[in-house]
Amino acid sequence: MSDEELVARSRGGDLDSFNQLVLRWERPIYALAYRVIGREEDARDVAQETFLRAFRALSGFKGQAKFSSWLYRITLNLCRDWIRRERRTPIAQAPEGIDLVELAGEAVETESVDELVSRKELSRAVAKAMATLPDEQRTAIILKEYHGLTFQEIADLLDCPLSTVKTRLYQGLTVLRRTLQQAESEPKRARSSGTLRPVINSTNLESTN
Amino acid sequence: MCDKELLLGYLYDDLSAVERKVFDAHVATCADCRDELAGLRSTRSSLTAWAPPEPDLGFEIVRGGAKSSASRGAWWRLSPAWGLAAAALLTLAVAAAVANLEVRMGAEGLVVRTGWDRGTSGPVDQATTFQTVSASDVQKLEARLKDLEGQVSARPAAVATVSTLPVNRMSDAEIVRLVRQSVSESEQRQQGLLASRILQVSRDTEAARRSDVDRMLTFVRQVQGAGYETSQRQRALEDHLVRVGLQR
Repeated sequence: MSDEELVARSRGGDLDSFNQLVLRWERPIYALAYRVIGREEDARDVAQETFLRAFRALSGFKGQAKFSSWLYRITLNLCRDWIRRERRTPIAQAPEGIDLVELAGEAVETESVDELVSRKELSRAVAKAMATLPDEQRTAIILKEYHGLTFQEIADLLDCPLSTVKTRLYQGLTVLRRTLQQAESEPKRARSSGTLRPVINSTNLESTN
Repeated sequence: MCDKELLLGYLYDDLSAVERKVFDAHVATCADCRDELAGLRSTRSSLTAWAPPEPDLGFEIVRGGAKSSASRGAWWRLSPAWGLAAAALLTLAVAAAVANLEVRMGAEGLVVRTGWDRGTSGPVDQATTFQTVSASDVQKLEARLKDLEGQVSARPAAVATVSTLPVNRMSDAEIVRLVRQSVSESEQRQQGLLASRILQVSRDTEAARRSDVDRMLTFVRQVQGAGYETSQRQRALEDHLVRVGLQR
């Protein structure tokens, strides 16, 4: 059943349909919140609040945008509120060091521990590199790379011209490329932990519809 | 100058067929764009390594109480002290209910009695006392009574304290006076005990101080004695040297 059908049923009072939407979208929404604000527990709270708000405002959702875009907008608004409330940067740190025992538990048959260590280090390097980006570039990259939104969807979500979205993406990717290349040239174990900064501070995300 | 917007569209496969054909032709002749495309593709590949943690989500909207889990949990956040107090009160209430506890002040003083033997001990309300019971009920009651008697006998000191209070037909004022008197006596006992302990500590401290002083004096005397002996030896040596010098 499509999102639109589930939304229509939910608007008719079918709670199970809305909970199907929750089940379908809770992980992407959590992932978005986590990459934006960088804290596991707070990202979970933001995700939870997103669905509560969506449920309460469901009667006002007329289907003029995709349901997922509507959820993303609510999430980004909540992230922005969270950042304003917390008023702090950086807000999260990637863990120091690498626990080989923990990694061994995560290892899958097709991936050796060495590969897993490399992937963890790369993940940390990416987080660190993303932290260096201006908020608006980082938001655009998160929405494009991790949520597969089109340029136009990002422009609609962030209320900015299409060309601006492309510029932010290009500039952000260029900086990431340079930063990651520098990180690769450093000794592996000498890499320090990355920090995440909140992404949104200037985007116009006032309305939830 | 190469068109970066076109390059980005090419990177994300977001070009029309015509645009793609044009850019394909451009890339074939532009080494910079080829390098940049390769670099950005590698960067995009690296970005996939950044995965969020896997939390236990399982959100669900519940009809009639769309509270967050945090708010639901907050109701149960009682401090340990409150929890213990609540548990104690609950235990007391359950015990009183099971034992049919009766606390009464009468001619014989303060009476604490479990209700299973009320029918044989003193006047009580007829309506609540005489009931039709079966033999098995009586056996159960007897077993329960033995159990309760065992529990009561396990606390002889407390029972004795309660049952020997001189509260025969006392008024509230008298009870208050007795309580105050008891508290006062207790305070006096505590003060006496405290004074004796302070005195004992003072004595111990004084004894320790004297012992330390004695040891210090002994040590000083030893040092002085050793110094005297040394000086005597030095003086004897000097005298010897003087005599030797004079002889020469």
